[in-house]
Amino acid sequence: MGDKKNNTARLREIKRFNNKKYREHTKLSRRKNIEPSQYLTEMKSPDSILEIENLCTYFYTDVGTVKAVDGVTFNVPKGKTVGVVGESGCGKSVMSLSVMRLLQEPQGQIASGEIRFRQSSENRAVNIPNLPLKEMQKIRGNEISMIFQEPMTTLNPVFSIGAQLDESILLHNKGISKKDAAKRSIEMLELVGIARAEGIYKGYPHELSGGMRQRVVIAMALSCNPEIIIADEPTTALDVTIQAQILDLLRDLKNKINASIILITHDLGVVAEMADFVVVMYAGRIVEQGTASDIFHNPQHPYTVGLMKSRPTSHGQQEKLYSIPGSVPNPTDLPDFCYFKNRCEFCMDICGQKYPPLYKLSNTHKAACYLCKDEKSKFEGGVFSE
Amino acid sequence: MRQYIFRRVMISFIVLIGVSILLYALVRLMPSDFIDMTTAGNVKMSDEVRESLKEAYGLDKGIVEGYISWIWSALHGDLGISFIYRKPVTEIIAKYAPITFAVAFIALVFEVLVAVPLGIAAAKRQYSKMDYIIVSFAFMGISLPIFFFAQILKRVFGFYGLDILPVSGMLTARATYVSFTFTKLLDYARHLVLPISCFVITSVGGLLRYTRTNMLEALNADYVRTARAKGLPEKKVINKHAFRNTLIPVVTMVGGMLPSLFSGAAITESLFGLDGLGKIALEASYRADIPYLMGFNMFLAILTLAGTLIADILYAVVDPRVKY
Repeated sequence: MGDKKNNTARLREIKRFNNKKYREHTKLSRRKNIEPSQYLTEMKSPDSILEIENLCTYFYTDVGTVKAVDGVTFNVPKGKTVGVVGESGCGKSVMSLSVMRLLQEPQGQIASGEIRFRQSSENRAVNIPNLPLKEMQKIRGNEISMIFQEPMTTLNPVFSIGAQLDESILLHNKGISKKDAAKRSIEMLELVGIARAEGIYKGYPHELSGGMRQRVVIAMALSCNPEIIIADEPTTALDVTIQAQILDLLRDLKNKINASIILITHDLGVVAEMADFVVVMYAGRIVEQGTASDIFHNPQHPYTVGLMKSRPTSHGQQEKLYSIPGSVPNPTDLPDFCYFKNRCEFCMDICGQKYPPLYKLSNTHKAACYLCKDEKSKFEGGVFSE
Repeated sequence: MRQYIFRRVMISFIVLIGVSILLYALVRLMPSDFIDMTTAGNVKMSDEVRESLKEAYGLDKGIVEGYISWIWSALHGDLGISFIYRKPVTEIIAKYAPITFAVAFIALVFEVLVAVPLGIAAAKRQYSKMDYIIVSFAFMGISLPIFFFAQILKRVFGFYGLDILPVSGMLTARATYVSFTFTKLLDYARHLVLPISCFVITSVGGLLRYTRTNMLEALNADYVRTARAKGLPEKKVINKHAFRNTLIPVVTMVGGMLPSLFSGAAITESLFGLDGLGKIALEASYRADIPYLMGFNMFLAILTLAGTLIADILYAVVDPRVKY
């Protein structure tokens, strides 16, 4: 009885806290006339186009605060592909939605951190979380565009493919005529490898297969020559033969328009094929990051090692696929120590202490594990390079 | 499309025959008949006279026999003569249907104009104060019995209250003999304010909540996120992308509401003294006026079928996935 009472009191407390957060958020988002000084910023590194620093995205739910993304920091260099890997629910999609400011508000909010974006069209750098919605709408679909994972539901069923493509072109290119927009849309459809583009232009989404729809989504994302393409599991819903085609397509197009890609996936094979840099996420935090070869040839965090082992190989004689034992900790109640501790086969005494920082293993390679603290000296001096 | 409509009309015809059998059986199964009710308490009436009257009204025949003769003349366009009004049923329907139809149509338009925007406004800010106010308003409307609410409206706005609106009838007595002018039209409008607002307020809740639910679903759909990701302004995301998808189920519902507006008119028209089909229908069912009841109910059945057919056609118009 007492327990139940306590629980009710706790839930009420959560509700009150959430309502406060929602109100704060609504107040912030309704504010008018935001001074540019509040969102203008400087990029830290000259060759990066997007810098995410200490990003925290929280969901204020009825059972408590879910820290979906908790202190994520990485850079996206111009013209490179960054792969973000991790299992379902590790916060990779939420991270990408934060960049686009497409979170389910006000439950989901960017609690703190910076997302700096080099807006070359205006010749300035902006901090996305502070940006007024109007300014954000100029970036969305124009300079940063997104490819979603569910091609079957991403397109609006009641508008024709052409109307949906034209829409973003007309929106971001002031003064373009409808005819020119249609021409550009058909060009884009041809670019993503759709035969009979003019017929498809007049068609509706339900007339297309999943692979075709994903091509349309990609065409839509690329139609305004974005600087960054965020591909949130672009191939997950497609069958394997189409997957390879879509990835080839993305890579070709990236080179054509010299864009950067943030590729979000749980498929390590896809990352190996596409990415220049890799970020491994676990329970909302980065556990390891580095160049593709750092991660694939020299994984340091036990979680990354586990991920690599649980990948099916084409040549091995494995009887049963490896799986990491245990499960992800409860997201509303994360411990102070390493989130992976209870599943880790290398667990040590020190792992019971506070969450490990990201140890630098080389100029590009970092891992958040106490194992790397000791081995730091061992890897110094370029031994680590390929 | 044309073939589809033709097929649907043919099927509707068969359905109507079935409906008429059921209706006739139910109407004839009423515990008393017109003659018994009219002559009750009349001591001079002998049983023989009663029997001959029943024969004259065709009430002596059994249900099957009676139905066959009814449907035979109905198929020839003759719905019989109303017992009460002593006029052909078709004539009564033709005379009073425009009034009922005008009232019902205006009510429907207002209902859609109130329910759809409010439903969308509520969905746009789910769980906000605005949402709670709109939803409780809708629930209040659903829960208020129409006969009770009508009396309140009459008391508040009518002669014994603010005295700003007429409480019954279609026209002020003086205006009846004036030729058709703007003042006459205004007089009609003034008389219709209370019945229509009574009707709209008590029936708007269902459509409002339906719109809200569907809008919420659309707003959570992936294509709305895509629209936002394109950089579209929020207004366009809601009024174009989400709304077009909300429209599909709402159109179907509005099509289905058409007949209920007419059957609901029976009570509203009686309460506000409007000379429409509904008021006559209520009186006819008190006094077992079989030809009129059959005529009115068949009219409702035809409207129901027409309503669903119109809804299905509109469905194909708003949803490109539907093709006939």
